[in-house]
Amino acid sequence: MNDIDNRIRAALHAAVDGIQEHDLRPADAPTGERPQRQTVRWLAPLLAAAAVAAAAATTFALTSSPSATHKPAPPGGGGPQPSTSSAPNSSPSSDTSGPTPASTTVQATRVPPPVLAGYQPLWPFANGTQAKQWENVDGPNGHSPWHSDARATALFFVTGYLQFQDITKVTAADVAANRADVSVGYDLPSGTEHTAAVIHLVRFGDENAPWEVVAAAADNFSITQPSPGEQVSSPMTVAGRITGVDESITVAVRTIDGSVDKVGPVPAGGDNAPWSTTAPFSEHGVLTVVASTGGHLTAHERFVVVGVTTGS
Amino acid sequence: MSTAVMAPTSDADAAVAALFRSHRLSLVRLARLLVDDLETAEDVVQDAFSALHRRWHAIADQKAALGYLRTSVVNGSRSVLRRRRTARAYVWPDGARLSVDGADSGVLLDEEHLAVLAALRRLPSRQREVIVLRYWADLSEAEIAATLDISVGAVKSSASRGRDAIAALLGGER
Repeated sequence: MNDIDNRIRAALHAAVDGIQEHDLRPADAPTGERPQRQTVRWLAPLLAAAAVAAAAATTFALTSSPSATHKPAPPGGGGPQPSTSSAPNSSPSSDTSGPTPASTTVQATRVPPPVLAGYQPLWPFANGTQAKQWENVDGPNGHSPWHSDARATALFFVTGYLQFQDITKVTAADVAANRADVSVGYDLPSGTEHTAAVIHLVRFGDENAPWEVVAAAADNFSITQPSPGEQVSSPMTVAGRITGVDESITVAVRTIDGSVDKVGPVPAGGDNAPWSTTAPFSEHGVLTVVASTGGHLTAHERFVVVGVTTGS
Repeated sequence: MSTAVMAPTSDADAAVAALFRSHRLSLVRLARLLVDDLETAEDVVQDAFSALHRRWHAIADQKAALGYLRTSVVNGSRSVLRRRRTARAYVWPDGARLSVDGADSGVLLDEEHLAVLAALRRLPSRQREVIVLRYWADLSEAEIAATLDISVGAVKSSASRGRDAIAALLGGER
């Protein structure tokens, strides 16, 4: 037995052998009959979630602009107006491989954990106080119900706040109790969907709290500098890695009040090749650093977002 | 941990319940090595048991049932990762350690284990699955081949490449 074998075996056992029955959520073996206790326990939150989703979807369809009803909405007046075909409530593509069902209802029973620390809230609320105010005053059945819809929030972030009008739809979504990854993109001329980025959102609170964008990631395109939450000063170096041919990277530094400083385009390309630029900015507070590349098919074929602060 | 004790209503109920009691924990541990977090691992395992229950009468014996469950867990874990393929480019600030250090089990791992697990996560999914089934589940090459529905030769090559890649990532040791 080689040492590397022992090291792999030891690490794997150390990683999970400490998981015990009491670490797992209560669950029952599936039966031919629905267990009464479990049905009762699951039914209320499921129905509540369905009602909220239905209300949000309905009201969302009737709401022409999220910015028309709430202060933290995107700057620019009109705001995004997603079409029916780009409804952010579209489901993620199903995955039918293997004998395992693609989804489970267990997740709906989870008690949302406490507020997650370490995130840099970017949009649509400038801080947790504003988010709490919406929750207390409006809530999912009041003004701007899209705040309770992670998909809508992600799409509005891109089309309204970032002003990427070529991003037209949600292509997939993985929504958990207090965090969500929502993929956004557009249809290629061939008819297939293209995902330009995955928007990362969190809830700063329980299931009634609104969603807040904290970052965005893309395939084979990254920002490695600055780091999320880093304190920066002008001009800052924005750098990362990219895989692609004849890429053209634009960096924008945005604030929630609508100001923006842009630099680029920076030519880049290669296999996981480094890119870098210097981005001066004039604003203070929380900054949304956006790097986008495109030009082949659309202006924003891929983009990544990191939140930083000037610390003042 | 089972909370709602119910009288089995069929042979499928009884058999799946017995498997659930005996193997749920070990299958969650297996899934935990293949996905991001414990809750997802639990979901994958619950789905596997549900699928087994639905298809119970097409499965010959308990040994085959365990193999079916194991395959379901691996496939389910792979599906989760596929759906999160792009999302995984981003490391959640409080999720980075959770994803590798077993913090959800209350165990703090040393640097050695963290390095091995980090290397494991950089492997292609097939190699990672083979490594986990070989080194953690202690399955034979034939059992791994059956679980993953690949040839024994593919198991051998995946194990060898995965092992070599981990060794290289840990510093060139072979």
